[in-house]
Amino acid sequence: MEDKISLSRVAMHISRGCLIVPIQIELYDEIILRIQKDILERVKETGVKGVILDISGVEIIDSFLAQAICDTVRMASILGAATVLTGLKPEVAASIVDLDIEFKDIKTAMNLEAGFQILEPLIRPKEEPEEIEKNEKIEQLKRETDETQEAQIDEDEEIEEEDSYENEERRKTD
Amino acid sequence: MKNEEKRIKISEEIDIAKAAFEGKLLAWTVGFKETGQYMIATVISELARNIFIYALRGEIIIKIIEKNNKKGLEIIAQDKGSGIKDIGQAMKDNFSTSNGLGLGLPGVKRIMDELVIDAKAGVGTKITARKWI
Repeated sequence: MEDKISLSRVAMHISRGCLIVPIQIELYDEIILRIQKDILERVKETGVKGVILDISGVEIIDSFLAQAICDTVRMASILGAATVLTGLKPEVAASIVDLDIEFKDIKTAMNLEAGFQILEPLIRPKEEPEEIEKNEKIEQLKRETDETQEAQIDEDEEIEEEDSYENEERRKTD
Repeated sequence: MKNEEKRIKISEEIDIAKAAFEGKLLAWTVGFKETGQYMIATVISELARNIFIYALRGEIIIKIIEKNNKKGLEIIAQDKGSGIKDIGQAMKDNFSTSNGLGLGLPGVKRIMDELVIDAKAGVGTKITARKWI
């Protein structure tokens, strides 16, 4: 029984701010429900904003599996992560249409790279470039103030040196 | 190769995948192309799931058939469940697939060439589906 559980685990990893879930096994009920649970847990744990479900290894999708996938996508979106389905086989696409399964709200892409491209604007909001500019400006200001401070410190040191020189002179005269 | 048939008892979830796999293998033996193999496997998966969900146990029989020098595959899904109350409604698109639990019979009809449903309330259901190459 324990072997079964360890077998049904899918190795997920995070890349470019997305949780990548490669499914390279033939799905059946128990496995998809396990994967569903694992994905939701990882999304909660890591707080990723994007999930890529790569089903290039899946050849048979019937109405139950399709529904389980749809549910997973919806659950992840409620948690705040957008999901893209990648690597659908032509046969799978054909059977989804023939079985009249609604894949309406689900984003799909040919491959991982295309999936990243769909998710990128969702993960990194448009305001961010402006923020980067702002941050750069702040850093530049910091650098400038640092420079003036350094200059001041140099002047201070010179003054100190002069002071010590004067002191020495005084000591000599004393 | 003639009259070759496979019987798969459906009583557990894993049997659904098993039946689909056997179907794909048999479809390959008959000479279905890859897409056809997957379509048949999907249909078997769908029919087996109906058995599992609505009747709990039953049987899938997959047969190689021949007619007028044409080869094909026959899939019989039978159970002793409560039958289908309203076949007309079950055959309507989006009747059950929208809430997700099996009964993708319109889809099965679309994929297969022939579909015969023999369902008597209280006796059981026998669904015969045929696909020619």
